[in-house]
Amino acid sequence: MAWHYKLCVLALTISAPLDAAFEFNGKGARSTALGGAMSAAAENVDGLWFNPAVNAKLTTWQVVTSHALLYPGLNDAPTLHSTGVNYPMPSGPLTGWTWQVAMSFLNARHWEEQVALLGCSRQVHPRLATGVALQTNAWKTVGLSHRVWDLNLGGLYEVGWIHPEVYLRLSGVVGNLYRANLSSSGEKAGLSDRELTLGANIEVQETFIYLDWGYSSGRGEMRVGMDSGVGPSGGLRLRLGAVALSSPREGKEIDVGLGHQYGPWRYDYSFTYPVEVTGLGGIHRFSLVYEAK
Amino acid sequence: MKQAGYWVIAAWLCASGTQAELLTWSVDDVGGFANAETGGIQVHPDSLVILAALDNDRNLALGQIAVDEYDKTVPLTDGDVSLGSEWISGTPNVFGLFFTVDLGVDRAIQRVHVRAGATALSQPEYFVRGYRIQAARAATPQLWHQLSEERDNRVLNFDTEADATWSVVREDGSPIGFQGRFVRLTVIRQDRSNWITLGEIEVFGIGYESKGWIEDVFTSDREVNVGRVRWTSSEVDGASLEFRAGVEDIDLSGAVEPYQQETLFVGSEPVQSVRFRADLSSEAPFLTPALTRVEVEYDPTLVARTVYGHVEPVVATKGSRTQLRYTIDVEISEDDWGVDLLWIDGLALDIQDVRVDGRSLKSGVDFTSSLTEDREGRVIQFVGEERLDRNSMVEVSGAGLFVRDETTLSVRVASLEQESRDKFVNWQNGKESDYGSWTVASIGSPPKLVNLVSVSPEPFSPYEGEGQAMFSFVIGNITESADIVLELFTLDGRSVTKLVENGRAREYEIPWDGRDRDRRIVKPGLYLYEVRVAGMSGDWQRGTLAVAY
Repeated sequence: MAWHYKLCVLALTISAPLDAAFEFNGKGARSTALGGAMSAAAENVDGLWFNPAVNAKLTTWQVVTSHALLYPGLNDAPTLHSTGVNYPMPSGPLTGWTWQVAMSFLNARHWEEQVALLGCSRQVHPRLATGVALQTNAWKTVGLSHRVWDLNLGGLYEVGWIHPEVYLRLSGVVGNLYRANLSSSGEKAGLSDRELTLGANIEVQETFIYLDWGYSSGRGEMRVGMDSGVGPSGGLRLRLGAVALSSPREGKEIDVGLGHQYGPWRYDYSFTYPVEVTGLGGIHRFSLVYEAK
Repeated sequence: MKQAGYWVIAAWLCASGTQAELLTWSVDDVGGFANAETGGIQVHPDSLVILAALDNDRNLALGQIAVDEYDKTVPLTDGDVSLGSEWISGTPNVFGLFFTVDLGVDRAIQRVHVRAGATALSQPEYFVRGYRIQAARAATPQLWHQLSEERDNRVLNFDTEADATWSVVREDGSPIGFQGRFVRLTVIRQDRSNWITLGEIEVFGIGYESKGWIEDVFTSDREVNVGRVRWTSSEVDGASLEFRAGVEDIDLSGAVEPYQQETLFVGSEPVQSVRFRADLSSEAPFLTPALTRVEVEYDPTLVARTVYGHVEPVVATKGSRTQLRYTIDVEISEDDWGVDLLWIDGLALDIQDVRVDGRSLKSGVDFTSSLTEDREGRVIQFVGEERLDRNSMVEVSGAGLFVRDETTLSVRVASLEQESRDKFVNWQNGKESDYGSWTVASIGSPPKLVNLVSVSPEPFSPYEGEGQAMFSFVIGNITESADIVLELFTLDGRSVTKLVENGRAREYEIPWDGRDRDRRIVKPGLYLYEVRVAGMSGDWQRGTLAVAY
């Protein structure tokens, strides 16, 4: 397995490209531990934050709740809470569609941020799935608030087994395609830049490697993650992730995480270490996932 | 050379009126540096001061450190070869023993002379019969270059010394020395005896001395208010010149700040003389800095005859605001400019009350005040009819924050009329009262490196008000100037911008205009900030700032 780790380290050191736009939403502990490289992570409730198409093949519903403590070394450490649901329609005229709903809440001194997301996805070909999501991002502070609407389109393509032991999946997402800026101040406050993300998911003997490359506003970002079973049963998962920007001065991020599946329940934890901000305790996330059987 | 330079300016005689011009002492006026006290320098007829040329007979190793192969100091550079100061081998196996002399800086070495110890004079078998002499440069101390080697020096009784002389000359016949800092003598053969003795390792070279100094004084027959001090020098990489000036009879090296090309005089005024000193140094044998000119401006018209003051209390609590009262006695005669400006230096005092002869002045009506650029002082300007044109007692009360163990305050006075004439403010520095002190000692536990960080307004909009967020904090617990760093990050830990200000332990206010490194207004959101002192880890302050618009 050593070469998997080497790949992660190599990607961290040579990666070039993604946008450093201010955005902090309720992504779960699993996706965070994998560096946020989740645009090609199929059938994963966390994936709804990254690519609306990834859950098109789901047959049962899933729900996740996540909680994060940001920089416990600060006196007023911000907190983040989120929840999300994936629901494939079992019958009726919308059979074959998977609906996704998610919300997150960031609370800090003088600052609150809320994100709500509604999406749906469908398989249009045995190898191809598409999805669309409408997202609204709002913040509120003393005497001022703001809301933005964004539309995201995504696709997921199953390349299949490219080797007897290697499975490949590719993805593409256009983020913030439609942008409505509900601002009272007249400034483009909170308006997100358009973003293109290309991703890959490689599965090698129960080890999953995730790669995302994103581009926005002239800047690139590389995300990489690895998810591997630990122990004889494989129920315990070790995850490593990293994020690097095209501009070295804007820093890097290293993520580690653990997950454990127990029947329909899964517990995830992640720790994010922004390389530029040391000594504040990093970012801790916990997630609880229920996957109906 | 004890005698100090002594010049009297003829122009002095015409300086009796209050509107006399600003005058200048300069080296040209008084005939150069001919009467200065000097050491290790040479003064050329055109007043060019450079390091002295090395004397061919000067032993560069004398007084330097010499060590054996175990880095143990040996007495081979003390100028003494007597029995009490010689080195004798403690082992019969002396082949390969070596000694290294550190000259301190690279020198152009021309000759190395090794003298035997006193024991060898009566017992010739103690002479070193074979030797190797090498040298290494400061930049490459492990790379030894061979200068000389004598494997079989068998002329008994006459060969009392090992002499490594070599000569390399330019086309014009002038000598070139090997540039090196370290000289090594290695014993490669001994005589019939199992022991050897050494007395001294001497090194001779060419080029310039590595250090030199010049000290001189400008003197008048009456007290003056000194203005700007200027000096001109040429310096090259590897050579430097430090210039200082002060009043007579003070320890220049300890009491006066080094000046840089041009500065205001900081000693107490008025004075009758100004002493200056230039220290020249060079790290390379053929390089020298040069001092070419010194000018000292002075005003025969004083702002005030005398300015004496002190502050109470003289003990403060470290890290907290302390109430202070300055008491300043100003004696002004009819010939003086009079006082329009009062500079309270050393502390960013929050002024609460200003009194002149017991009469309280109104802020904004009778006086205005502003912080100095370095935020370590406050200037009070008397306005309207208020100005000091006769003997007055000024009392200034306020609160200040003390973060150092000891804070030395001072008071300066100036005249707007003088500024109008000369286009610069020639501050007259006050003196400490005989019955009081300018020095405030701070007691209590030392404050943290970064203290009392606050930011306003919060939330902050780059488009509203003054369009900037002001970070206020106090830096304590540092004794020297350092880079004070304010850095902002996005919430996911990506650096947005970094603002740096150099300063000492004191209060700071650093504005941020809401822009990133590329001068773009940042997006609304929650940002992290960090205040730290560069190069000092383990103590910083961080917090969050909301940007909204």
